Amino acid sequence: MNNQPTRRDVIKTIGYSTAMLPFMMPSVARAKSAAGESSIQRLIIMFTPNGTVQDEFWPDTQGTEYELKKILEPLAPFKQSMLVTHGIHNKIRGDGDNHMRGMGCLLTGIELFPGNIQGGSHTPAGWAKGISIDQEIRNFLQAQDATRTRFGSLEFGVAVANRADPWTRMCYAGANKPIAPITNPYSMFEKMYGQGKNDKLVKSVLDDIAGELKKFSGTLDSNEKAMLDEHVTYVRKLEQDLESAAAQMLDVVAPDLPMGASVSDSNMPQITKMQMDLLVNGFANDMNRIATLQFSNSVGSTRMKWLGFPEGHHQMSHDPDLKVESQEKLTKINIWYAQQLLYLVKHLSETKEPGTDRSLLDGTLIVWGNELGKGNSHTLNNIPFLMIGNAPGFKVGRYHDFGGVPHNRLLMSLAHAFDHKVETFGNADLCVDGPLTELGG
Amino acid sequence: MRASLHLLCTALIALSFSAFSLAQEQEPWFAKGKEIYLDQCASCHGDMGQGVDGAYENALEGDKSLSQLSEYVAETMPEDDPETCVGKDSELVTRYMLKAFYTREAQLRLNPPDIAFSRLTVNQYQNAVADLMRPFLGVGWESDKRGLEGKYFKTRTTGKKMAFKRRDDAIDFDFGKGTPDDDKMKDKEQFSIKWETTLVAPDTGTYELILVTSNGAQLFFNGQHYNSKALIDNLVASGETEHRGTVKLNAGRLYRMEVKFFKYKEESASIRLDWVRPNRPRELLTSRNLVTNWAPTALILDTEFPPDDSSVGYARGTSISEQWDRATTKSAVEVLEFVDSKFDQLTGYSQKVRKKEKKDKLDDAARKETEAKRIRKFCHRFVRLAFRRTLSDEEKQTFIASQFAKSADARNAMRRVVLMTLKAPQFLYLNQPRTPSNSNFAAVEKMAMGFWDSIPDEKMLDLAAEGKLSDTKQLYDLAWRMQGDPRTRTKLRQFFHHWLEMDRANDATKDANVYPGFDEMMLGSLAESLNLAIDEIISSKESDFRQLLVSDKMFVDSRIAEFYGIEKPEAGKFEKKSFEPEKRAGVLTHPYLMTGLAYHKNTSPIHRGVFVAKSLLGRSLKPPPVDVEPLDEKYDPKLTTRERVAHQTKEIACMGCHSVINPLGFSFENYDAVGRFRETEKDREIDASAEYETPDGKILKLNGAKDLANYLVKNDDAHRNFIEQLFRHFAKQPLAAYGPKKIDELLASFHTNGFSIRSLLVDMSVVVAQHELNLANQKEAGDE
Repeated sequence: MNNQPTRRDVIKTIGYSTAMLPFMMPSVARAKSAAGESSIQRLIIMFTPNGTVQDEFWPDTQGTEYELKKILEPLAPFKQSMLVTHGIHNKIRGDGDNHMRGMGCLLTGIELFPGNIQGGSHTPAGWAKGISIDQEIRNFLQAQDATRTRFGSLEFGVAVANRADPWTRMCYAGANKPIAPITNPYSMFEKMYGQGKNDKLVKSVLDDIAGELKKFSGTLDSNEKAMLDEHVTYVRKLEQDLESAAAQMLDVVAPDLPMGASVSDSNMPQITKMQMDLLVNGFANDMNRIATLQFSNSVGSTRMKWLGFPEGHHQMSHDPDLKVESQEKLTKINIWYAQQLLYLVKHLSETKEPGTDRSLLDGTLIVWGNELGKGNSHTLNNIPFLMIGNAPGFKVGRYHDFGGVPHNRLLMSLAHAFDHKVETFGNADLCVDGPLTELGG
Repeated sequence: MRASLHLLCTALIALSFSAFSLAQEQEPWFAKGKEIYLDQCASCHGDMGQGVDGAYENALEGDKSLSQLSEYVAETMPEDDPETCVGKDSELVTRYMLKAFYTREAQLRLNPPDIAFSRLTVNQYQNAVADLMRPFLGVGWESDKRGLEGKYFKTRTTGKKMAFKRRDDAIDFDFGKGTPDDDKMKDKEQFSIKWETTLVAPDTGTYELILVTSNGAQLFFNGQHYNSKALIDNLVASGETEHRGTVKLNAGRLYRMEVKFFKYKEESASIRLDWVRPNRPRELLTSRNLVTNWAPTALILDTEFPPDDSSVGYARGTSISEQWDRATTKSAVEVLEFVDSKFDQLTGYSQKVRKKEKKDKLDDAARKETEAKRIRKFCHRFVRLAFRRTLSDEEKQTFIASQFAKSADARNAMRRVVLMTLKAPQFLYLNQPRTPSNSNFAAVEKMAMGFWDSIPDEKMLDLAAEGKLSDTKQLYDLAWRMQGDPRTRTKLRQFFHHWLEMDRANDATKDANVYPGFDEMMLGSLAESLNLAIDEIISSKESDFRQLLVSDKMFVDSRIAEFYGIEKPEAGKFEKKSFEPEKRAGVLTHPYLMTGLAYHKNTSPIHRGVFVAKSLLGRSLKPPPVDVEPLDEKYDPKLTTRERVAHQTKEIACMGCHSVINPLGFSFENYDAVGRFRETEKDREIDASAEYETPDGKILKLNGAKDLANYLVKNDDAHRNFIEQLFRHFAKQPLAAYGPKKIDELLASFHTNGFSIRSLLVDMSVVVAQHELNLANQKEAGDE
C-alpha cells in the first residue's frame, strides 16, 4: 500500500487534469488556507445519550489544576488539551419532552415544532425549527473558496436506531430538515472513496473468471469465440480499473476496513473504530472540515454486552442515585465512551496535517455532548459538554463552571471560532449576551 | 466439433431447398429470365440481387406478387431507359428474380438462418437472479384475495388494542375529525392503522409510490420492517402532505408492502396512497394490483444495464459490451448483498435448527461446523440452479471446493461462490457445450427461457438429470406444467405489448379543441382497458387468438364510458361492456391502438396501414425512398385525410409499398384520432372501402376494419406471421433456424387446436427442446 503515489506526487509529475478535479478540490482549499494567515480549523461534535453520572464526571476543582474523575480518567494523556465545562444549560422549552428537546435542540438551539410525536411526558412535537450549528458552519465554509471542501461535513453514526424521529436526529439542514447520520462504515467508505465494500472480493475472483471464459471459449467455433475473447478483455479491464481505484490519488491512503464486519448494535466497538478511522482519514485528505459522530440516539437503549451488561442503557439511566450497582454500570458505560473518544483524539494527534508539522488535533476542536445533564432527573441543565483540541477562543487545559448560561451561547462561540460572526443562533432571546467569552479564559 | 455440427445442419436445410429449386432452374423461362437480368439489372442490383455499393445498395427481396412486381419493372426499369424491359421480358425477368432470390423462400435457401449464439438478455438475467432465490425463500402467488388487509387500533401505536380488521380496496380515506369507526374507537384524539398487502408489478420499470397525508405515516417496502429504513418515512408530521418513494420493479413479480398510519392530537386525519407506474399518469393504487397474500422479499436490482439489441424486432443477447460486463459485475454484487442480508433463510438456519442447537448444547466450534455444512449445501444448490445442469467434477472443484479452500471462513467462501457463479460463462451464456448427457438440460433450459425468460427450477433439473425429456409424453407434460406458471402469462403480456406496438400511445397528446376531455388520465384508462382485454384472452381456457380480432366488447371504467358513450360501470372499477358491436373488431379497433396510430388532430392511414401490413400480415416494406413530410391539412383544406394520403403517395416510386399500405390503412378511416367511430369527415361521408392485393396476386375487396379483421382471422399468412412473431419473442431466435418445415407444422397444430395461444406456446417449447435433443443425438451418431 505504501508504494502508491500520493495525489501530490502525481500532480508533480503529470500536472493537473480535469479528470482529477473531484479529488483536486480539497487540496486547493488546503493550499489557500496554508498560504493565508489562518490555519485550517475543524470541528467534531460527538454525541452520547442518557446523561452522565455527575459525581464521576465533574472535577471538584476549577481551573488548570483540576482532577480527573473516573469517567474522564481514560483521557488523562490529553488533560492539557481538555476543557471540562459545568453550568451550560439547554434552556429551550416548548413542545416535546426533555429527551426530545435535549436531542433536537442540542445543536439547533431552537424549539421543536408542535407535532404528532409523543414522548414519555409533556406535549407531542415534531422536528426542530432551525438549522444545527454544524451545518451552519459547514455552509459558511462551503461558501468561500478558501475553505470549501468536497463534502463540507460528514455525519457519522454508530448504532443509531433505524428510525427517523426527534430522538434520532441532531443535525438539521434547516427547519423540518433533519439529516440522517450514516451508520454503516461501508456506505461511508463508498461515499468517501467511491469504492464498494465488495470491490476487494470482486477483484479476487476475476482471474478465475477470465480462466473460465477462456475454457468456455475453447468449446466454441470461431465466430462465437470472438465474443468470449471480447468478454475476457472486459474482465481484464475491470481488474485494472479496480487496481487503480484502490490507488486513487489521495494524500493519505484510505483506511483498510476489515471485510464483512457485521453492522449491528452488538458489534458497536468494531464499528466505532471503523467510523473513527474514516473520520480521521477524511480530515487528513481534507474532504470535510466538520464531522459529527452520533452514538446511538436520545433514549438510546444500547445493550453493551461487551461490558457484561445485558440491560439497555436508557433503562438503567432511570435508576435512582442510591442504586449503586446501576450508577456503577452507568459510569462504566460513560468510561467506555471516553475510551472511544481517546482513540479518536489519539489518532488525530498522531496524524500529521499533510505537508506540515502540525497534527490534525492542533486544528481540531472536539465537542462531546449529551441530550441530558443526568438520566434519572431528565434535566436539561448542566449538559456535560467536554471539549478537546484547539480552536480560536477556546482556552483548554482546565475545568470551568459557567454558572448556568444558555447553550446557545456555546453554539455561537463555535461559529465565531470559524470566524463566522453570527449575532444570534437559534432562539435569539437566549443569545442576548453574545458568544461565551469565558470559553477563552 | 460444434462447427461441424452447424455445417451439417446447414447442409441439410440447403439440400432440401436446392432439390426443390433444381427442377425450376432447368426450365427454359428461368434461363431466359436470368439472361435478361444479368444483361440489364445486375450492374446496379448485383448478380444475385444483393445490391451494389454506389448504385442500388438495398437487396432485392420482398413479398410483392408477380403481377405487381413485373408491372413495376415494366414501368420503371432499367432506370435510365424504362422502355428496354417491357411486356414479356419484364415478366420473364420478374419470374426469374422471384425464384432466384426475391421471395422469402429464396432468401431462406440462400441465407439459411442459424441459431444465434447468445448470452442472457437483460430481462432474462434479471428474472434468473430473482428466481435463483425461489427454492430458498419461497414463492408468492397472485391470489384471488385482492386489496389490503387493514388492522385498526384504538391508540396511536399499532400492535396493541386492535378495534377491528377489514379488507380495504385502496388507501383513500378522510376521517375528518373523527375515527374510522366512532363506535369501536371512542378516543377521537388518537388511533392507528396498519395495512398489509402485496403489490403485483404489471410492468418492468421505475415506480413511484406517493403517500398523501398530513399525519404520521410510514411505508415499508419489500421486506423492510419497523427496525429498518422505510421507503417512505413520515412518522414525524412536518406540514408536508406528499411523501414519495421510488422503486424499480420487474413485471409479474410480487412485492410485500406495509403502511403504518397514526393520528395523535391533530385536528384531522386523512391518508391516500397513489402510484405512478411506468408510462402511466398518477392514480390511486387499488386492488386491481394488490393482493392480500404473503410474498417473500424479492431481489431488486438497481443496476442499469445497457439495452439489448432489438434491431431485428425482438430483444436478443447476441452482443456484449464493456458496459454490459460492468453491469453484470455490479448486479452480481447486489445479489451478493441480498444473499448477505438473507443469510439465515438461504442457508436454512431456521428457528427450529436454532432450538435444536440449543437443546443439543452445541459449543461455538460445533455450531461453526454445522453452519459450514449448511453453507456448502446452499452453494451446491445455488450453482446447479444458476448453471442449469449438474456440475462436472471440474466445475465442482473450481466453483465450490477451491473457493472454500481459499477462504478460512465458510461464510466468506460462500460469498466468493455467489460472485464467481454469477460472473461465470456457464450462467451468462445460453449455448453451452453440448454432449448427449447434457441435452436434457439444454432442453429444459431453452423451455424455461422460452416460457419465462428465466432459469428452469430444481424439479425440472431433476427430470433432466434422469433423462426424462427424451420421452415425448413427459416432455409435453412438462411443457404444459410450465405453461401454467404465472411467469408465462407475464411473458405473453409483454409479447402483446410489443406486437401491438402499445408504446406508441404512451405520451400521445390530442388537440384539446377537437377532442375535449381526452387527457393523460383517459390515455391511462385506455391502456388499462386494452391490457385487461389481452389478459382476459390469454388467461382464458381457450386462449383463442381469433378473439383478439373479433371481440365486440371492451373493458371500460366510468371515464371511458362517458367519453365513448358506453354504459357506465361501478365507480372505480373496470367492467366488460358491449361496445358498438356492429362497428368494432377486437383490439384492432381498440381506441388505445387507434389513438397511438394517429396524429395530434387527424387520423393516419399510413401508420395504421404499416402496422397492419408489418405486424399483423408480416409483409415486408421498405423505408420510403426519400424523406417525405406528410402533407399538412392546410395544403388543401377541402381534401379528406384519405384524399390527401392518396394524393401524396400516387407516384409510382411510392406505390411499390403504398399499394399495400394505403388500402389497409383506409379501412380504419371510420375511427378518428382517439378511436371514436365517425361517419363523416369535413361533412363528407367516410370512404373506408379498399382493394388489397395479397402476395399471391388475389384482389381483396374490403369495406372497413371489420372486413379486414375477418380476413385476418381466416388468413394463413396472418396466422403464420403471428406464429413467427410469437416464436421470436419466445425463443429469441428465428423459427426457420429450427427447420424450414417448422412453420407449417406449428400452423397445422394451431388450426387443429382451435387457435389456442397456450397450445401454440407448448408446441413452440417442444420445438426448441427437441432441437436440443436431436442435435445431441446427431452428434452421438456422428461420433460413432
